[in-house]
Amino acid sequence: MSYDRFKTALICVLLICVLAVPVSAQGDVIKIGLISSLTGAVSTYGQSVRNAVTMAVDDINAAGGINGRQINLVILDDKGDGTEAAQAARRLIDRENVALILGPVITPCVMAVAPIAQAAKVPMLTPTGTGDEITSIGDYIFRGAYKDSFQGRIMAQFAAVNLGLTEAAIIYDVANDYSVGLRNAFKATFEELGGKIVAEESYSTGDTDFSAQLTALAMRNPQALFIPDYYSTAGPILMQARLMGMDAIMLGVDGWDSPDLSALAGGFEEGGYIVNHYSADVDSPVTQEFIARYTAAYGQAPDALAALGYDGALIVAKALEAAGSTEPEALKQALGTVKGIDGVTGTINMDPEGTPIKSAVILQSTGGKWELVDQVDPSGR
Amino acid sequence: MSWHIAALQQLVNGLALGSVYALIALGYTMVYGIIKLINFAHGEIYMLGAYFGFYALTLLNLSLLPAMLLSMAAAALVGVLLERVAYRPLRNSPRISVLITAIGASLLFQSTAQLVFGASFKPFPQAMPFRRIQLGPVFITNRQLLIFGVAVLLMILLHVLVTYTKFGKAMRAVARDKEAALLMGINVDRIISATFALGSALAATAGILVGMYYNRIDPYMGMMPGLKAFVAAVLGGIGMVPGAVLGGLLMGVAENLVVTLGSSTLRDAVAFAVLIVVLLFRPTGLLGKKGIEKV
Repeated sequence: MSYDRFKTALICVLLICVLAVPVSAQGDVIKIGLISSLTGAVSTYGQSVRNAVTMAVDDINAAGGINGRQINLVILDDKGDGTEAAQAARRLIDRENVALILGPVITPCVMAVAPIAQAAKVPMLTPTGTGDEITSIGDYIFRGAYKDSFQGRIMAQFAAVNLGLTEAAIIYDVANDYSVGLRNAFKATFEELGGKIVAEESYSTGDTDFSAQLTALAMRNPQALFIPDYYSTAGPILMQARLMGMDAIMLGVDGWDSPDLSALAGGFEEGGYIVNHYSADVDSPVTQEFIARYTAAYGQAPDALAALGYDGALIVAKALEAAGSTEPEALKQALGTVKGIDGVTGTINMDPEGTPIKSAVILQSTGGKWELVDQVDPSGR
Repeated sequence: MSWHIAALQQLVNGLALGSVYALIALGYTMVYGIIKLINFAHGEIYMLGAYFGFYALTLLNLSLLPAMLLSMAAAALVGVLLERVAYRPLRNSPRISVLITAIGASLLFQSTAQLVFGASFKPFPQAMPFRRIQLGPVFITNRQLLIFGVAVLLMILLHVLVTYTKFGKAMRAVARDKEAALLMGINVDRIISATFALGSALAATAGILVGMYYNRIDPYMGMMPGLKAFVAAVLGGIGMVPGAVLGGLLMGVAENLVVTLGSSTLRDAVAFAVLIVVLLFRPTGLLGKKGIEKV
């Protein structure tokens, strides 16, 4: 091909691209962006969320869409990394012109995306982000999960009151807002209830060797060890702690909920307790139907991330319906006021601050399964 | 547990971690000794070794020892190919060009591994039961013992190889003076290839041991240990086998000490502070003397 012909061809291709954009932006669809951690250190979270959101969107579209408009879902991977998440957000806002962003999944990614969405006035709802500060970034930022201060408090109450513990130790990631927030909440409540934090150790994201910290913790012989982190780190910590001979009761958080935890922990999560968003044992028809359909579609039982992903899509759908348009201001108003959504994780009532009023559950790992131990209502008991 | 028992326990933990650094550092130091190149892709060979072991254990269903040998062989092959493709054409170029190529190779391996193996953290198959062995007041887990044992065994084998065999003699000759070695009829290319193969096999062993110890592998696992092993090699005196071992063990113990006494956030900072201090006050490393026999 001569240079000139190459140039003409190139111009044609570019023209087609330029012309194609407005065509896809028009049409009677609502474009929603989903940022999820499909690969990386927390990949099982992202895959669960993507599976569940896709399922919810397919359901909505099959039922005729929202006010007659179909939803078009654009899915991007953030690899569990804040920088990647911010790039994905820019692309969704600048190039894809989405009406709303669903996601990201983990708090550090949410914290990277929220300021961008707020500045662009694109409403955003993270179905799973629990960091307390998320919703204080702005009035366009919403979430579908409870906050870490709530979660940490529930676990501390359970440890102090239900298990009757008086001494606990903590090992947490100083470089992750999620882990630090949970540690603060747990510590405050546990001490308030008369308990004592006998030892505390920290590490940084990406560390693999915890033997020094765990040896120091084991010296104090704590009754319980609180490990507020994601499964990919909590797993190896659990294994290393047990191999060091620590026999403390292991206390965890929603981050532990992953099909990969058991393999990473070498099975040593057995007997441990976690706070979570939902339990498969809850006898609600919505929950049971979701579990059956998700299992049939993806070949594995849904975890809490999947449940939250599905509910997140429901909240968004309900808000879009109530707003009657994709106009950001109206959509923002609707997101803060939708009530009575019959979700997989319970009845969801959104609060103008951006966080739903929801209950939590305490689960225990028994024979390789998470069994329901206790249910806690939104007031905290 | 009283504090001195705890200190002893931390020493055991540090030595296990240090053995890993030592195994990786040996590869750095051998390659440096022979062609004066800091092979920054060495940490990635360690990562690849862990993945080769992972697939040998899961896909091929091998038991630990054959899986380890297979992974060592595969990593050795990668090491030889790396030298052949990326470093040999640049052998007479300025050292900085080769160094930049090494960093490029490192990034290439990371990204390719992410593409091929996936970016998710993989749990490592636990090919042996969990056990703790009580040694007086302290204990050692069977994984720590394995790391320590394998590391010591391989270091002794390497020492014997370098000191008492004809091949070792050839290696030392090439390290001392490439041209003279060539004139004496030594096949320099083959010796350099063999050095890469040996260093890579040691790194692969470290990869598998670490995979089992920490029960988690990912495509970026080679970055930090690779850099720290490099510091260990410099600390001990780069180019010298005993130096790499000493440097590795010291780094492992120092890191555990920092985490115990200070803060875990300083862990990586201390490793690199060591590098700066060594380069400032004793650039030849702890065991380094001018004119010492190098490998």
